[in-house]
Amino acid sequence: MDAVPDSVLVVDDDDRIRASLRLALEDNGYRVIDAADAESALELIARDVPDIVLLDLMLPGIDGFECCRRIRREHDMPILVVSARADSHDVVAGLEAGADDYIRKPFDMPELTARIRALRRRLQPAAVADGTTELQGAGVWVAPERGEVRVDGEPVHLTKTEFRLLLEFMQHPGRVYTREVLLDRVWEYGYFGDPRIVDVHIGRLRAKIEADTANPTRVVTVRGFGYKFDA
Amino acid sequence: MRRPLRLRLSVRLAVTFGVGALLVSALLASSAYLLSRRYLAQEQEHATLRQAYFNAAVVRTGMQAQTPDVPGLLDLLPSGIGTNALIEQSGRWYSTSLTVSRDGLPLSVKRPVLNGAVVQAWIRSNGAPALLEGIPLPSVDGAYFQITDEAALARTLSVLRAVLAAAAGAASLAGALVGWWASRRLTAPLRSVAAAAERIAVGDFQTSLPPEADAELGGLVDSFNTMVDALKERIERDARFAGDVSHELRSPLTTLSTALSVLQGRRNELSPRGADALDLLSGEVLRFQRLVEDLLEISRADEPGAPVDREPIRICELVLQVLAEGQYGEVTTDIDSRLLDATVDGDKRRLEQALRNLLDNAQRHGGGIVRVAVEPQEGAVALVVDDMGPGVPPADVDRIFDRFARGRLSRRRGSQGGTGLGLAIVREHVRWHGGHVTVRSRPGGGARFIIELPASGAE
Repeated sequence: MDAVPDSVLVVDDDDRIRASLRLALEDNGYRVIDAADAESALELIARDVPDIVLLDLMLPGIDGFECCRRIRREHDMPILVVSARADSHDVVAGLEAGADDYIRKPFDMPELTARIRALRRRLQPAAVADGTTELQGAGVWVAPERGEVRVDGEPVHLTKTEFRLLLEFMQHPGRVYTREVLLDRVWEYGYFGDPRIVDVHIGRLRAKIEADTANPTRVVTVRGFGYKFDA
Repeated sequence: MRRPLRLRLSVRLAVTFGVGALLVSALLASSAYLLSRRYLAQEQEHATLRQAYFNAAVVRTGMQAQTPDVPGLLDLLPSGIGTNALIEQSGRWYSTSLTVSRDGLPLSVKRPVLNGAVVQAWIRSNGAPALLEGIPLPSVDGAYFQITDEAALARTLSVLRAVLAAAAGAASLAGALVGWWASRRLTAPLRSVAAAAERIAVGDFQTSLPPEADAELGGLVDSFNTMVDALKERIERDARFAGDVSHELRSPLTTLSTALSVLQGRRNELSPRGADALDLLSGEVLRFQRLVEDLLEISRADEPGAPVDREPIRICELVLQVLAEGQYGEVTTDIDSRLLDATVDGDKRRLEQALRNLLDNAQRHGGGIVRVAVEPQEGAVALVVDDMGPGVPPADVDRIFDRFARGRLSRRRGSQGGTGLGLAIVREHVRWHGGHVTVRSRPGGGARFIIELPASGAE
């Protein structure tokens, strides 16, 4: 890792959790900034864009979902939602608000750092194995190294995770991916991730590249298996 | 123990109604019969007596003539069909018919008439009822007897009897039917209450009875629905409480485990005793964390009406995946080749956890996993986990899946520390899929846990 450490913004209203996370993350070599509520988090981001955001959903005032949406309006850095509530509704809502992944409290530090590292890797320009600089299919044009996407000639803005997901599909048009394989290849979690993350991201990706999200023609569902890209 | 034989309520009601209707209709029919018989008989008696007086007067007049022609007189009499007349004069008898003679007259009638009394009596003539009138004719030293055949009346009465009996029978049958219908009508709400109670017993709290218009039955339905609501609320409250408690524990646990990870990272800065204490602390925090997770899991399972998210799950893939993820070492895996594509409609996360908990249990308490198998069963798929432990004593077979059962059972609390909820979660999750989990002794020692799940899709 280079000289400038990655910065992680920790947004949590619990002082002790913030303090312990600061200790733990700093010991793992990250630069930590923290905020106790969404307002100060947004202010901090405006001044000093962090590499990764660790966002608690239960915040006083503006809640984590809204905070996530507001960050997403301007930035595409990975957002890792920390869900204190166990029910899946919150998880899906958090992901739909624009988060890249979620982790449940209480978490193991090794697991958290593993997730952060996986998210961090997505910040680097995508490398395509054979050095291809452009990919094209079904009216979608992608320049992996520059992180640019055009759909029917129109530039489209994708988050890092959505971009990785699209790239994975476009490198293997017609290949059927199970959610687990996508988790492994895009999120790099192996089997530890929650398949719903994939579903929500597919939904967001479709919203950006499909003409009609109800009848997708590019990223299509293969019932009982997963998804594939129809070129 | 034998239950005393009791007929079903509906049968009893039908019988009661039927017998009641039979009694009432039999009483009515028999009194109607007796009254009409008496009325008809009296009518007939009056009519024939009048006729007899008239005929007697004709006979007397004829016999007062200079040369009485008694047989001729008999011909003159306006006799109807079935009416026979006899005339006695000074010991000589004349009859209109060969079938009727003085011998046919009972003494009880003949004697008083010959002694001067008017007599009317019912007799049997030629096997049929008949009316007999005897009128003394003292002025001509004779007597007039008349026998009127009343077979027609008897026929009328027997028809009436048959009609009334049939009516009584029909009435009692109708009564039984009404009783049956009424009991069905009455017990219908009871049956729906029973069916609803059964549904609730298996955890379907969406059950509620449709409102009943009738005031009394409505009361039953209302109080039943109120009870269901109260029960549901209470269960939800309990589940929510367990959930809330575990939830509230999450924040401090997060701080604890995060801070511990810092200490672990700096273990070499600690003294050996400090490091030992840290290890103890880490182990317990980990266990605490697992307990909270399990409590949350089981409180979610308790929550009625939790959202249902089912999809076809390829069961063999799931088994292999869970085995690959966990650190179970070398495990013999038997998968029936017919089941390679078998699917179960369900929730992947729950199934994975159920299987993982069984495997963890076998490893922790069962001395290690011997074999994992996927076997076909009728309409179901069985996941079998064999361990090489001491097996489960028969007394514990039913209780081993209870929450925190371990403390009460003969198994010792292991130092590796399960939460005491693992097998309870297995049962909840398997039940959620409509299957069931059992434990039995494995041939050759050890325990065999079997999860049976209803299969869907391909064989």
